[in-house]
This record gives sequence, structure tokens and C-alpha cells, in this order.
Amino acid sequence: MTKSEGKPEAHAGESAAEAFGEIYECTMPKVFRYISYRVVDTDLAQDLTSTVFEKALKGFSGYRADKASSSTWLIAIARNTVIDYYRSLNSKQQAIALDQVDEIASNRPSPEDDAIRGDELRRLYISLAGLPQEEREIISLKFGGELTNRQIARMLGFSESKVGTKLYRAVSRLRDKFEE
Amino acid sequence: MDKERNTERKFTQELDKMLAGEEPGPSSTIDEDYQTAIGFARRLIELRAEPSPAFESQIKERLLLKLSRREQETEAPVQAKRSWLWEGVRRLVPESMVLRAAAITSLVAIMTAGTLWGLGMFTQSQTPSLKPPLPPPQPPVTVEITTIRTTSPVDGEVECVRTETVEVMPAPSPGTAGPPVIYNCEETTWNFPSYHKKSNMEQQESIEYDYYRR
Repeated sequence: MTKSEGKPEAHAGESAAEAFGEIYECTMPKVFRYISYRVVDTDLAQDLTSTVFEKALKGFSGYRADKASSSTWLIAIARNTVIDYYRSLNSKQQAIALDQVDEIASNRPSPEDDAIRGDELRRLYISLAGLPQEEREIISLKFGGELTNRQIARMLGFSESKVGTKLYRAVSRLRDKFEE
Repeated sequence: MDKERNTERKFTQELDKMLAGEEPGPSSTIDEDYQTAIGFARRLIELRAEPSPAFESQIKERLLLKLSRREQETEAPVQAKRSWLWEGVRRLVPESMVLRAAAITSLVAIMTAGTLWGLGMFTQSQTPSLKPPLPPPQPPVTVEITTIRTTSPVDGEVECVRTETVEVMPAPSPGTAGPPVIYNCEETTWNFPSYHKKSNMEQQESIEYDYYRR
């Protein structure tokens, strides 16, 4: 399902295009999944993923592989991009966006032979939208961004053990909502 | 409390394994909640949205295009500068073969002269020599000698006595200024110089000779 999970860092003698292409190949699915969890809309997730990589391209010369892994760097950009997106909506639009989760999720194109999966995905997105913001963020970072608890802890300013506790509770709560 | 912590830690470890594409190990935990959470986590991983291949290739193409444009933009001023320099050099070189040969010869001559100058060939006199400096020329010292006998055969021995003390002040030279050198004269027998024309000398007559200190 996932592509190579190695750390794609720029090597000596490698051109910027090659290094960036390598990072893109390894991290793009993670960035897309993380954003999908946050915005529960495939089209919007694609637009925001595109924005994330354009931002990354602009700031690529300043990226230091010894400071952060490419995954952490790009998920941080994705997180800020999603935050900016929600800020750009006014409170009324935000309320509509949350109300529309059911509609958006149901309208997701689902192949005929994968109707069950489509239905489950719709229920999952509805359940996710009902979680507190913090728990939804942790689930997105873990299942979408595939970050370690330590990386999530650094990003959110928690201790690693606190992330473990919150993650377990968030998954349990999501399961409860999902099975309702 | 510890049991909860252990459950959460175990859950994280198993989840990380599943995200890495590995199967979770056999669990000795019989906690139903834990088993349900692990099962749900597995389902969540299976349900994750995947970007469509069309979107994936489209965005990659767009990014690479932007990247190549950016690289061209950064390289363009450098190339313009290089071509300007080359054009300047080309204008300096004359088109006539004779003039071109003359220009090259002049250039080689200038470069050779520059190299020799750099090696210090033209400034050798200024370079300090390892040889000790030659002593400055000493001024002649006039010594008066007096014969003892009144007559003497031509080219024969003449006994002369110097009764004076000659004081020679050495010529000043940098760093060697010192006290006068005093020569104590002794009674000495001298050969009468053959080039001296005067063969007869009166008693107590004196002749002056130039005496050069060795």
C-alpha cells in the first residue's frame, strides 16, 4: 500500500530536482492522507496537497535534512496549510463545511465492486468530524502522516507518553462513533 | 495506571508495525478493549484514502516543470554574464592573422617579463646577499721613517727606524664605528725601494713613503 518508507534525503552530487523528486515520491501519499483526514473531501485534499508541495518547492533550498526528516517537514507544512485553509473560511462557512461532511462523503465516487468500502469510508469521515479537534489531529498525524509518537509530540508540544495515551483514547472513541 | 500505560505503549508499537506494513505479533493481552482497538486500527489503515495515479503524475509533472523553470531563471543571468565576457574577449582579438600573431607575441612577452619580475630577476640587487660585506677602503697612512746610516749602496739594505706611533682612524662604516686603531712601531730593517731615484741622502734627512696598511 505504501511506497518506500526510507528517509529520502538529498545526497552529494544529486541535483535539486532529483532530490525533490525522491522526497515527493516517498511523502506525497502521506501528505494526501493526512489532509484527507483533516478536510474529508478528496478534491479539496488534492488541491491542498498541491499547495503543500508548491510551498515545499519554494522552501526546498532552506530545508535541512539534519534538522527534520522529509516526512516531518512536509507534514508540518501540510498542517499549517490546513490551518490556513480553515482560517480563510469564516465561522459560518466552517459550520457549513462540517455539516456538509455527510454529503461530501456520500458523494465520493465509489466503485461498484467496492460499495462496502465506500460506505465504511463515509461513516469514518462522519465519525472523524465528530471527534474533538485535538483527537482528530492526532489520528490524522498517526494514520495519515505515519509519524512516530515522538514526532507527533514535538509537533504538538506534548510528551511522548501523553501522545500515546491520547492516541489510544482517540482510536477507542472513533471506534465507538463508527459503530454507533 | 501501569497497566493502562503498558496497554497504550503496546498499542503504539503494534500500530507502528502495521503502518510499516508488518503484521502485529501474537498478543498475550486478553484485554478485549485492546484487541478491539487493534482490530479497528487495522481497518482504519485499510480504509485510508489513496491519491489517484492521475493526480499523482499530474502534480509531479507540474512541480518538475516549476523546478526546471526556476533553475533556468537562476542560470540565465550567469549565462548572460558569461556570453558578455566572451563577446568582450572576442572584440579584443583582431581579425587579421598578422595582428593576431603580434598580439599573441606581445602577450607572451608581457607574461614572460611578468614571470621574471615575479621571480625577482629585476630586483636582485635589492635582495640581501649572504656574502659578508667588504671592508670599506682604508685611507692611506703617511709614515715617516728615518735612516740610521748616512750612506748606503744602491739597492742595498737601508736601516730605517720609525720612532712615531701611527694612529689610524678607520673609515666609518655602518655599525662598525669604534675607537682608533693604534699601531706601535718597532725598529725594522727595510729594503730600500728600488724605484726611489734618490741615492744620496743627507744625515737626518727623511723621506716620506706612502704606507698602506694590509
